[in-house]
Amino acid sequence: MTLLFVLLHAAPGDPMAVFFNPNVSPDALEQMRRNFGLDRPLIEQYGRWLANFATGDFGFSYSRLRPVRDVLATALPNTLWLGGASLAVTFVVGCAVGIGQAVRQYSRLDHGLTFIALLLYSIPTFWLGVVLVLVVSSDVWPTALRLPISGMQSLDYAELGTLDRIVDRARHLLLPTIALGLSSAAAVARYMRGAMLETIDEDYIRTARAKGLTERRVVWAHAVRNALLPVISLIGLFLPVLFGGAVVVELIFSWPGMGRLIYDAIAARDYPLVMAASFLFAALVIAANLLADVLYAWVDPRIRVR
Amino acid sequence: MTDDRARRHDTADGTLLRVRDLTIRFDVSRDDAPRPVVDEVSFDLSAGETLGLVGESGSGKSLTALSIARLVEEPPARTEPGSSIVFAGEELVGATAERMRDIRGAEIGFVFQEPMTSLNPVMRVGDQVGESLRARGASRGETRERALELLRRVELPDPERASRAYPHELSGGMRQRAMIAMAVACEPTLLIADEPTTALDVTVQAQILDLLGSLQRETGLGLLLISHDLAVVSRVADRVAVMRAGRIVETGSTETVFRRPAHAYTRALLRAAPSLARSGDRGRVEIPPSGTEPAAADRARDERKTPVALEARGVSRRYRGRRRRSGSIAAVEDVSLEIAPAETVGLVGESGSGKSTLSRLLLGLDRPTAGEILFEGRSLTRLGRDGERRFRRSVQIVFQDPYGSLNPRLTIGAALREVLAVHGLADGSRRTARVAELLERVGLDPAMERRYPHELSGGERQRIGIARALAVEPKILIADEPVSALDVSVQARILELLKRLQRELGLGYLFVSHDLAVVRGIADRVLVMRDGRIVEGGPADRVYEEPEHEYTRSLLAAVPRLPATA
Repeated sequence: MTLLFVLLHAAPGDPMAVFFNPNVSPDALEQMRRNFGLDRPLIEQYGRWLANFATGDFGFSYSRLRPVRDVLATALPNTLWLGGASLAVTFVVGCAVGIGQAVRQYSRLDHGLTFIALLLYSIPTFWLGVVLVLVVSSDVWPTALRLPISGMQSLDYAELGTLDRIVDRARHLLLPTIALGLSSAAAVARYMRGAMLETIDEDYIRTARAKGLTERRVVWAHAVRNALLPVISLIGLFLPVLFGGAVVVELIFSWPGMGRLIYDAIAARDYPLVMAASFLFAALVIAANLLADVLYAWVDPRIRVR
Repeated sequence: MTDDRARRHDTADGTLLRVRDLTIRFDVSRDDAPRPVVDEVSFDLSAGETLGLVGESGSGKSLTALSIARLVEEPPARTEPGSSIVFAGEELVGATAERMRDIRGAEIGFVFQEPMTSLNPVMRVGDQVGESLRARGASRGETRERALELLRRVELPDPERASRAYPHELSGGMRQRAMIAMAVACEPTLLIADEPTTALDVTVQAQILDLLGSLQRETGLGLLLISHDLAVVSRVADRVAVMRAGRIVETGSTETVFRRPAHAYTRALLRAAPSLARSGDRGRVEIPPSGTEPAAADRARDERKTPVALEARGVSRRYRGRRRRSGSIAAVEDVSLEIAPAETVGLVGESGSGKSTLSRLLLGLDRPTAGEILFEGRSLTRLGRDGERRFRRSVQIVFQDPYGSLNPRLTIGAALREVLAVHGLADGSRRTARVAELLERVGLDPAMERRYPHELSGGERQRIGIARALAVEPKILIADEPVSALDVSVQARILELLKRLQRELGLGYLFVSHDLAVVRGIADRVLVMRDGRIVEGGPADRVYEEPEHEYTRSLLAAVPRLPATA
């Protein structure tokens, strides 16, 4: 956090620049600066910020003129929606593809999917996002499949019934989720394929076959659960990637989440907001790692602590 | 069920399994297709009979067994036309995949070697035992009850708890019992056991073999027992088939094959097998020029004129328990021993007895919590820098797994040169010469230095392990299960090498092993370890012939013996 603080303040720019306006007098600006404590020495600013932060007071956003806490409270759920959906896509799609490939190793399907995975993995998120927007909003795209390309709800959202609201939200989620999750899904698929192939050579798979189980049961009850172990630890690794990608994707799809918030806040030199949002991201990543560890213990009885 | 079983057995002459000209190849797509791995193998097995399939690693015995239930991936393997496997009157070669699946588990049960890796680590034991029943339509309740009953049948203590446990929570013997319960869940008529006791301690091995025997008497199943261990086979099998390089070289009743082996290979195998009865004369032993060998051994056994090189005095190593109240756990407790130059001290014990911890203490890799280790009369803690360096050079280790302990990315030469470099011995061209000398010393071609570990056989790798230890001119070698991973004939040669090196270099050995017969063949003195303590020690002949301690006696009784060759 300290490093972030120093870096932020070392960067050129004035947080009050947003208010530069012929109609605002230099005196008024000076007054605001005093109110925000920006006239104080840096070290004092830091100490004061740290003390407040520790008590849960995230400060006041210069650019939005609202408490940082409120700003984050509106943005965080939106990002959790997008991040959660992408994480789900990443792992559900990734694992399914990986399993499919491993079961039919060296088949045409396997080679085809390997190629596609490699392609997707090498596509940068911002490019995929923009291309998705272009394609879906172009004339060649069938009207029946038209999808919203920005925001997270339609204009008439408030008048919709519960079911329609869910559908509306899902439609808005679809494109950003694909843009954000697909290349990670490709990576997960590679891992899962490898893990499955390794597992399938294990002695206990032979034991399962020797019991006369169907191939379906051998794969799903014996191989997949063991192959998932190394993949689960990837959750913790991929979450920061997804959050990083969220900054870009939220911009492209005008998604009112944390990513866009941070982007705007940095541009506006809104120190308290940047600090708090970054802190929240870090906390999320730690939480995700904890989740991965808990999941791991749930799946693998060998590492349970009693 | 009983009627069904009777019907299944009711083949013309009571033959349960008839294998004829079974031939399996790998890589058939290549033009220069290699020799078949299983080559025209034929044998019969009757209901209620035990057939032992014996051979060294790579002889094709496991592949033969697996292919009976089509558990070998095809491709890459291919069963050649003309092969025939008739099980209970039904031809299995060419049977549909569905039919084979029905037969597996239901009519042919399998017990594999390593119960840790052969059980699914993330599935409860009870579920694994009942799985084949469940797959055949038993209800959840029925399955659970039957699984418990099976676990009780294989004499698992506390079957309720075992059923809920995961494999890692059970001991090796308990896991193998669970594996057997799993194999007989659907009351098969044929049980194929592939090295079922190889990974187990001798006393547990004896129990498992007894269990297999009693199951067989009870249900009349045919048992195909695959093993490299001749003594194990001789103990349980009615008939024996000896395999070598994909072929069966000799078949006959156990009595005949072991007492009057017809084939030269069988005779060589029997000669190479370690035995409790005699020390010394194992297979391929070149008789040393008279006088030299006894002299070396006697010198050590005599009242010690030579100084003790390495000594442990009342050494203990305790580990703190997880909970504060449970106190500490002693891995080694109040152990004293001495190793003199040119002497071999055998250290025997079952897994968990503290052998390896003791080895680590003697190597200075771990510190005792009580007592002290002395090197040439000085405590390890007070050696000083020079003394410590001398100690590290003088006491070396030879590991069990010669593959796992060699860096796969280094050539043999590089690995040996590294040792010389670390200890600042022989530099430049002298180093290369020294490597060649070392390889020759352990009976290898010096040209081997350019090869990588995976290109070598198990025996060659163990020779490299010994060469690595010898590189620094040690006085004491601590050999931790040095031949346990090797075939008997290779074992015999490695032991012979160790004896020769001892004669030539006057080395002192601490020979750690779970295998009492192997230790018998090499040790001058023997220490028996149990639960961290030395329960008995003395001259090898005395300990083996007149064991004083109860535990030593039960250990010796559990070791399967070969019938004496006529």
